Amino acid sequence: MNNKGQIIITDILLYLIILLVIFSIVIYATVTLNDNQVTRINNKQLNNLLEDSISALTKTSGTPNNWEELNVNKVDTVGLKSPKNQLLSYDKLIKLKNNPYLLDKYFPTGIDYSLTMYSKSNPNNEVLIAGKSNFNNKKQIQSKSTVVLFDYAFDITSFKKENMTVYCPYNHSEQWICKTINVNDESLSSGKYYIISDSDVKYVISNTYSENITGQTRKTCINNQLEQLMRNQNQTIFLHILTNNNNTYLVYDTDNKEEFLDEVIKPKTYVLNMKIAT
Amino acid sequence: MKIINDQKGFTTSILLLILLIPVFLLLVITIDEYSHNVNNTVENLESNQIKSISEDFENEILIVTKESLHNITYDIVTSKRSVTDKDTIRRYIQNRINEKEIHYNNNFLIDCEIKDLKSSDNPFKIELYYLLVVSTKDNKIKNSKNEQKLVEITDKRFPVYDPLPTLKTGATLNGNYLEYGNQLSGHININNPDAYLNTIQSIIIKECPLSDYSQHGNSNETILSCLNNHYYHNSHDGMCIFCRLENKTNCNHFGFETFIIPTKLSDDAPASIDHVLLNDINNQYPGNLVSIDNNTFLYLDNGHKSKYGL
Ligand SMILES: [Zn+2]
Ligand SMILES: [Zn+2]
Repeated sequence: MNNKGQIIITDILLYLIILLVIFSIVIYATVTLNDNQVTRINNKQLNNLLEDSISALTKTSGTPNNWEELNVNKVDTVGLKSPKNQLLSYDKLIKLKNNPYLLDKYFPTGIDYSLTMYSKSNPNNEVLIAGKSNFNNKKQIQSKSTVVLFDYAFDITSFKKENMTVYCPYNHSEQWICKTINVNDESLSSGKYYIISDSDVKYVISNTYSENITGQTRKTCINNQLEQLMRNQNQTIFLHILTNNNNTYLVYDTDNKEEFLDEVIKPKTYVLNMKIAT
Repeated sequence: MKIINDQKGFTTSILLLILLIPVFLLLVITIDEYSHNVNNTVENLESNQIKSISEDFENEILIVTKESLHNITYDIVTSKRSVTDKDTIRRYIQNRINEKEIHYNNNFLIDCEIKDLKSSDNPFKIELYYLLVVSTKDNKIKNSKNEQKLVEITDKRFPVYDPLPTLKTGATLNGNYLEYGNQLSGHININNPDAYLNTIQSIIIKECPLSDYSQHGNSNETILSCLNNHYYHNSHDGMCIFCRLENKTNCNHFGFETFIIPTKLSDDAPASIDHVLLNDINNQYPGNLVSIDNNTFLYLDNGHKSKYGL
C-alpha cells in the first residue's frame, strides 16, 4: 500500500477539477462580459449619435446658415436654429419636412431614425418630420426629446416704453408710443402688416403729410390703411398706439403665416423628439 | 479524506496566484473602458461650451463697445477735451474687455484683442475688428475667431453724445441739452451771428427715421417732429463720429449732420446746419429764412433746402 502516493494522486485530481471549474467560470465570465461590453459600447455609440444629432439640429443653424432658402443640392449640413436668436426656425423645419432625406446622411446604414414634433398642449397630434414612422424588427430603440420654441421669421416691432422721449408729429403724450416705419409699394405687395396686442388698443396711422387713419383693435391687418396713406414710392409712416401698458406689436409677415401671429404675444412650446434604432 | 497535505502551502499559493491573474486583467479592462468614455464626454462638453461661450462673449464685446463710446463721448462733452486719436478709443475698449475677460468664466481662458475701429458706409454704425480666442485652461481645445462687426452708435441704452459742438465752442451740457449761450454766436464769423444767441441743442446722436429726407417738407408737423427730436441725417459734408471725437475740421468718411435751430428772426443768417456753423471761419455760409410756424424757423441754403424738401 502506498499511502503517500494515493494522497498525492487524489489531491492532484481534486486540484485539477477545481482548477478546471474555476477556469471555465472565468472564461465563461470573460466571454459574456466581452459580449456585454460590445452591446454596451453600441448602446453608448447609439446614445452619442442620438445626442450629437439632436444637439446639432437644435443648436446650429446649418451651413450655409440660410440653407432653407437654397436649392437642396446646395445644402451642406442641416441645423434648425435661427441664426438671429436661440429659437428654431420654422422655415428650416418645413424645408426639412419637405426634404426629409437631407437627414439620412447623418445616420450609418442599418440604423433607423425618426424625427417627430408635437405641440405641448396637444401631445396626441405628433407630426413626422423626417425618418421612419415605425421601427419593426428592431432590437434597440433610443429616444430623446427637447422642448423648443419657433421663430416664424416675422419682422417684429415692439411698442414698449423707451427711456428716451420721442416727439411724434402729433405731440402725443406719454401714454402713447409712436414709432416710424418705412413702407414702399414692394413691401406692401409682398407682405402683410399687422397690429397685434394682448387687449384692445387705440391706434393712429399717419404719413408725412399729416393725413391719418384711426382705429381700435386687438389684431388687424393694416395694409389697406397703409395703401391709402402712400403718397410716395417710399413713404415714411408714423404708427401711434395708445398702449396703456399692453404688449403691442407691429408684425410684418411675408409668407402668409397668419395662423402663428398669436405666438408673437404668447409663444407656444413644442417638443421635438428623435428616436434611433438598430 | 485529507485533501490538502501540503504542509508548506506551496501548491495552494501557486494556484491562488494563477486564479488571480484573469480577475486582475478583467479589472484593468473595465477601468480603462470607463475612463475612456468619461474623457470623451468631457471633451465634447467642453468644445460645445467653448462655442457657446465665445458667442456670448461676442455679444459682450458689442455691448462694451457701445458702452465705451457712450462713456468716452460723455467724458468729452463734460470735460471739453478731445480724444487725441482713434487708438485711445481702441485702448479704452480693450481695457474694458480685459476686465470682462477675467471675471467672465472661471473654467475657460478668454482672450480678445480689439484690432481696429473704422468708420463704415453707414455713419450711424462703426466697424469693429477683433480677434477672440476661447480655450480650456490646459489649452487642449481652442476656438479662435477673427471678426469684423458693425456696431450701431444709436442704441438707446447707450446714447452717444456728439462731441463736436462742445469741442468747437466750449458750450456746457445741461442734461441731454447743450446750452450755447453766446458761445455759438461767438464762433460764427459771418454776418448775423446773433441769430444763434442762447440756442439750445440736444447732442445725443439719433438717426432721423424718414426714408426720403425730402419728406421733411411734406407737412409742418413732420419737420417740427424732426427738429424737436434733434435727429441727425446722413450727409457728405458732415463729419463722422471719429472725426468729431478728434475735433477735426474735415473728414473723408460718410458723416452726418443735424439742424441747429436759430433764436432770432431775420431775412438771412448763417445756415442752420451744424457742419456749417461749427466749421472753420472760411467755410461758413449763409442761408435764407425758411419759416415753419410762428415760433420755428431755419436758415437754409438752396442745397439743404432741396435735400429736406423745404
Ligand atoms: Zn404719436
Ligand atoms: Zn429729419
